[in-house]
Amino acid sequence: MEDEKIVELYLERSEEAIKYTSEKYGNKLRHISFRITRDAQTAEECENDTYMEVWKRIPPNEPRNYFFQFLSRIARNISINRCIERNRLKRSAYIVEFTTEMEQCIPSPDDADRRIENEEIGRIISAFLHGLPKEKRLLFMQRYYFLDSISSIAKRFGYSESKVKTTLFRVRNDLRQYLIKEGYTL
Amino acid sequence: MRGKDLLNNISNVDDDLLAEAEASMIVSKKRHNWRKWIAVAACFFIVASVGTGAWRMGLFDDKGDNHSGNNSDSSSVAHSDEYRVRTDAVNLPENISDNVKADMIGCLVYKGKVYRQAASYDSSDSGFELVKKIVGEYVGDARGTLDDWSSQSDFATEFASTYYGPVYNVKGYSEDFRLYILVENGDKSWIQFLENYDDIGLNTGADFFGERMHLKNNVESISYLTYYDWNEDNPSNYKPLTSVSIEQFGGFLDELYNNPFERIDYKDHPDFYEGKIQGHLYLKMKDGTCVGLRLIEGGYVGYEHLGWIEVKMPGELFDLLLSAVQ
Repeated sequence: MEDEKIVELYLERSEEAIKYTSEKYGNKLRHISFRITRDAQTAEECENDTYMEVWKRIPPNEPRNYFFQFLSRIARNISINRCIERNRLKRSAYIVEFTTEMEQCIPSPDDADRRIENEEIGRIISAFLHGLPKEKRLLFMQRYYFLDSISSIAKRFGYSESKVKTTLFRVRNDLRQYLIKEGYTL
Repeated sequence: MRGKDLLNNISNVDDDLLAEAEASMIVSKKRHNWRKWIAVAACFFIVASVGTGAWRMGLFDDKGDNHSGNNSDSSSVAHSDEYRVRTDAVNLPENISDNVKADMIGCLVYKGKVYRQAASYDSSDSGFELVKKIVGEYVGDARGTLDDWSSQSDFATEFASTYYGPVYNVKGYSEDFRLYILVENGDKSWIQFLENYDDIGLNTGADFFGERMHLKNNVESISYLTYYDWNEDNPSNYKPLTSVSIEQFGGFLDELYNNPFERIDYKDHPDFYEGKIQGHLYLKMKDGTCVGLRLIEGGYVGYEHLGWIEVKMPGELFDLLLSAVQ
């Protein structure tokens, strides 16, 4: 079923919307969640939570032309929050690895004179990424949106792990410099 | 704000960035398949004809448990921990000789993936007029540049194809799975589906029969061929399936969706495909397309283009259907 029709079902408050969403995107959503939670059962729970959340958000949202992106974001956030809620953030070395890398992007308060709110972050990071060469942009997204491991990214793109690490290190620094230059602090 | 907050809020990046990243995840897998293709000889041999050839001719030989594109090169994509099985890409037969002319089936290169010839429909098919209505958006022109003597670099070109003409996506189906081309050859024309089966990760039947084929609630009618008629290529002996109720077939599809895929390679288990009780179902879909399922004793349900990968769903409903196609 086309995305537009599925969204219409949500707007009509037809529970068939969830059925069609699951049929079309369930596997991908579990995949997204599994990457983050590293647990199949939790990934299934996050998938179900995603459907509930989508049900709540449509309406007022009407993501006819970006339905999967809409689902993907919700699934990702639910999965990351699940890790945090269950204290996996402290137990899971790989999540600590991501957050540590992200810390490197955050300018200190002394470096910037403007504080940005959560809602703006996506827009600012998008502006930064649009200015990058495609290769760097894709590596950043694989690592920090999809939470892929260095080795998985290296294999996926046919790069050495060293190249992936070096490229990401430089992009994180570039992001930090971008935020400083634009006068932001987080 | 801490690093975890930044990590969380990356979810809010623009849609086009997310779409680009997702597209790259598919294309980058194919990059590794191309490396395998470049590493082998120019001639390649593919067989996939509806209802015959692929299973019997051992096309989808598995070179191991790994997915398509793997060789000793370490640059393969590692996803075996996420899926029960993965489909294979095309492999050269090991015993082709200089005297054997390489036969090519239809194929098209699109977004770095090789779409292979699947079902075709001409004016003699009852579903032809319906299938014409599911033409989607135009995606580009097949170049007609591939033949038996095409070089490796010829395949590394977008829209390289054995066909020539406009290519469309298909309404109701993912573009990542199915495309459509209207083929004209002299005074004959037909609709040709081209489908991507390369390196697909599968867990349960729903991953394929639901997500890609949309079987549930879309079957218009069902016919069958006995194994004998299928093996002897007697298409005139299709019979309508009358001994199974709609509810029973619905239950069969539910179990097909919910049960896991297994790989049973012909070279390791030739008796499985030749010695067991089996039969063939043909599902005429509401959109005019046709889906062929192979039933093999023991609860196995296969789809011709998936190669040696079957859903295992033993039980009363499977036994009922298997009996009905004898």
